[in-house]
Amino acid sequence: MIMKNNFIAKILWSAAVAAVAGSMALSCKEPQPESPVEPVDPNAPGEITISVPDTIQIPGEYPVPHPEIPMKIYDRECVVSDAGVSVEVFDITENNFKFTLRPGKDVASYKLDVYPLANLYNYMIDEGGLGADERTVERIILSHLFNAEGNGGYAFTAKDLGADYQEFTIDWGNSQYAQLAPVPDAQYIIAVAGCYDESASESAATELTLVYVCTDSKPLIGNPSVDIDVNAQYRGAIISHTPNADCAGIYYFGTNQDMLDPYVDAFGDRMLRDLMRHWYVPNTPIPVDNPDNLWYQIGPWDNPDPNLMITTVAFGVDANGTPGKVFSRKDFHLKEIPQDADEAMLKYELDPENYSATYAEYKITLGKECRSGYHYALKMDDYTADGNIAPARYYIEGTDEVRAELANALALAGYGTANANFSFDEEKNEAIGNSFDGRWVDYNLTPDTEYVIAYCGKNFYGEITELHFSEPFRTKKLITDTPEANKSNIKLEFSDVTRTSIKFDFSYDPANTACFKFICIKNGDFNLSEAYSWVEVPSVDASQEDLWRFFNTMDQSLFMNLWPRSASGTDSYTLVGLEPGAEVAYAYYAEDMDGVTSEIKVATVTLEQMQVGADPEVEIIPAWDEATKTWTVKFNMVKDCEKFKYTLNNDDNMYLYRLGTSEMRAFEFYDHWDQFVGMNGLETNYESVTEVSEPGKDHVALAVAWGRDENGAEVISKLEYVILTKDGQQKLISDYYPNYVEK
Amino acid sequence: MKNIFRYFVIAAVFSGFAACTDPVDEPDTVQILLEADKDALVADGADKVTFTVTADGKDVTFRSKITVDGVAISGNAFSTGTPGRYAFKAVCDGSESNTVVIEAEPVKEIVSQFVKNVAVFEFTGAWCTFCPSGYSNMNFIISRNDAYKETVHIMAFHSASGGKDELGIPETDKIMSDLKVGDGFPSFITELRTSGGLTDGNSFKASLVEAFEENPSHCAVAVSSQVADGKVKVTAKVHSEQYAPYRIALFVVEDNVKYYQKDGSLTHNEYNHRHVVRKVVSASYMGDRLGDIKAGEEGSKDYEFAVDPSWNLDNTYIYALAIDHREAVNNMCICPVNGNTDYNRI
Repeated sequence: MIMKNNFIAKILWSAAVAAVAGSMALSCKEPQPESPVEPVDPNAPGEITISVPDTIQIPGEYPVPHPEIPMKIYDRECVVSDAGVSVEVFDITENNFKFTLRPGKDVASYKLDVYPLANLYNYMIDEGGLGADERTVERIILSHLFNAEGNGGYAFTAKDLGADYQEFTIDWGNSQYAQLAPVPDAQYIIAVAGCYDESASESAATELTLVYVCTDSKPLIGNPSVDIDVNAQYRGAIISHTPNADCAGIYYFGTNQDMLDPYVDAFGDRMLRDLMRHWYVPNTPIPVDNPDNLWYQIGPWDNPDPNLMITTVAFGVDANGTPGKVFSRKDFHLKEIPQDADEAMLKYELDPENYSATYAEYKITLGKECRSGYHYALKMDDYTADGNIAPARYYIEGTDEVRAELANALALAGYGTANANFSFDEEKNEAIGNSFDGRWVDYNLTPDTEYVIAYCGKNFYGEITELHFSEPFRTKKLITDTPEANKSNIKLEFSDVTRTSIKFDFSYDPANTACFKFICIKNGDFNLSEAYSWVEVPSVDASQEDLWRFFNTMDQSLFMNLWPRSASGTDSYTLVGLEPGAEVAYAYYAEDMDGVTSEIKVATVTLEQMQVGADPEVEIIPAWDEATKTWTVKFNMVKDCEKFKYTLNNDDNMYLYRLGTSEMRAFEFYDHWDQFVGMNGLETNYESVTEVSEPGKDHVALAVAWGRDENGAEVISKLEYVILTKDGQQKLISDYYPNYVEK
Repeated sequence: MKNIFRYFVIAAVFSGFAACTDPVDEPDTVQILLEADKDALVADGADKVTFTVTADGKDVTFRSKITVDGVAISGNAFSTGTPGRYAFKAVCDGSESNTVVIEAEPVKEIVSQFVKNVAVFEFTGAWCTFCPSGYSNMNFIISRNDAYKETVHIMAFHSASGGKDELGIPETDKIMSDLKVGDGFPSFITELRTSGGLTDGNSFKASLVEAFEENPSHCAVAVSSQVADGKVKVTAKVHSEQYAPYRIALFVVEDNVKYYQKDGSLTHNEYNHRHVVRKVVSASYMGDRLGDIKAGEEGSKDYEFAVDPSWNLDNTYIYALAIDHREAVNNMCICPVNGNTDYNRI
């Protein structure tokens, strides 16, 4: 259940009903029964069975049914006519109740559902049941029972139930039918409509039976309550909740005040509380142990109304789910954006000195009142590659609405640039910072194509400007047949070659290079063609023709690397996870600022072989971080290693808590850790791996290395270990047992 | 039921004859004598007592019914795994024999005078990317425990079922299927009793503990092997410390075989394969019957088979496994293909 995203509860009511509800509003603090009826203990069934009272008095609460919602309700059990279904409720607990259904002899099938009374009242106030007659109320209930498009009732037929049909018992809270779990001290209506056909169709409905049940609750522990804090801004708000120590869980809810008040006025806070406990699926209370659960956000809205009153409510439940007596509520509105707020001023334009066939740099100017700018480069006469945005011309020649739609989309998902010099005096409604000059690089454009940059900006209040367009520009042609004219002078070399990693070192003339592409064409014995979806991969000495064919095929592949130039003219990257002794080759080319490509070059490297010997050794190098109170531990091969096993562990079965006690002897720690890492450690053939500890816990780092003798037989090193305490100390067993001689 | 009816008829006939004869003369009764070849046996399920039934000196065992505590036994031999006193009677032609009481004595715990060796079948394949790690797990446990270094012996059964492996032998898949080794590759079975996977060493270690603690040796194995004229002649002997039936299983195992091996994402072209089972010499991996061997006595079997030219005889050994009546390996011996290995006494 996502609570912190944009969320407004959807309670819809008509103005006419609200007016009626207003006139019938009853205080939730002082129950006023319509007719004097003896109080009924909700947990003592059997006293009222056949006779049907008009109301059921809930001590201290509203009568059921509501005086303005006439319904014939039985209290927990009833025996009805042959055209209906008799119901008997039993085994009522805090979170469950069971009931048995006995259809009359004229009933061939029936529809059933259980409604929280609060939700049923919500249907009534929404669909005209409040203040209506009994027949209208019954029709509303039947429409929900027989709803075929979603949350309709459940059909039970003699064919499906067989011998159980005449007497069928449902353990409601544990059944497959209960989408909402029963909660303590909540009121429910079991609604069942008998049908004379065998397929429980609405047209064959005969008699509707409504049976009331109220769940138990354990005595309230403490006084669960929730404080609400509202941080309202101009376009949205953050609502935070602080439950007190008696809260095991909370419920919260927010909506427009003029939607909430009619419900509260008609049915009271207790019913609102029950509506909140049956609104979401699942309807378990929000646990209080995770701060991320205790807030939610409203907005940001594009067109916020500062006059709109918003209401947020919350309450807590104790460890048994019993709701607290205290119900918190805040009413608020968003801040009003000043009418004279300055519009964000900004400009995007192509840098005519720095663009080529697939590459372009944009100059960005954000005015001091512009907090951020958003843009996207559109082809003048073609859709974007994903097909989601139309050609630029469609927007340029379109209506204000069409442009506004794109502006809003860019502000949401376009490329954004923040004004690093932005500052605003909210009290004076004045931008007091400075403008900002930025740049943007696009490097996957289509050659020889007309583009235009569409852009918009936001001011402090989040108001989005209208959509603007740069001057159109045309990318240069991509020229691939005169590599000798290319000016980038790009070169790829490999350095820091280990058994499993290599470092890429690209160098080029930054003034004459736009961007470059590179892709792997050999990686040991790995079947690259299969990885590339069966594209034929050229050999390291393939012709330029074959290489270009491959590059053109793989141009938009995820395996193709495309990097823009760096101002320094160098770029480096370390690739790990390679195989010892493997030959690796990358093909690459650069595009210069005239759109001319270099020839496709190939750089190869061979990874180091494993130097495996008969005296393998691995080392453990821990480093303490005082700020985070964690250890960063490197496990490094030293020599002769084919592989090693390692672990950085704080589990109880490392027995660190026994260090220094008489519960274990010194050598037992060593032997146990040795066996543990040898049998259960992480295995690697990398030359170095790194692990980070958890703060606040002691750890032990363990490693054992494998080598081979001259006959090829395995040789296993001794255990390397170090104890790492939670306060930043490195220790050995002998630090705890002075007589122990380290191996 | 039919036999009993016949006896009653006969009895009735005799009775009838008796009724028809002079009532003063008593009919002759048949003296049925039940005898046992011993008055005690070991309650190990193997040791047995054999009965003979005679009627007036004539052997009528074949048409007698022998019961123990009122329940008929099958044939005329009895063995049990439950210590206690057992009372036997025989009935022949309606006449009942004397009662013979046999004492079934508890199995005496034997303190073996021989070193126990444990046979581990490793199931592996050159195509199996996890198998080198599986072997490392076993090797780690063995090499880290002094008690196991000289006494736990891995035999690598290769399978070609998962990919190319010229070291594969057909018995591998059959053994895994017969013994329900369901952990895939790599996996193991210790002493043909306890199997498990080798993704970590925990179940393997537990199987070794169990082998030494719950399956002590009560026998030893000795092997003599000679290579001549392209043939190998082997004599395998089992010395028993208790009366028990035995089988002997014989394997040719070659160590340090160079062949490719997948290892994670790597492929080693000249991987050093250890203890590769090249041939199952006995009729099956469950061995050939040696019969019952009494305590202190010996059983033996001879084998002859051709040398495979691909074997490096300098690294080739004969592994002989003694399998007892519980169909588990009780002890074993390793002998160079050209050499002798005697019983390994403590």
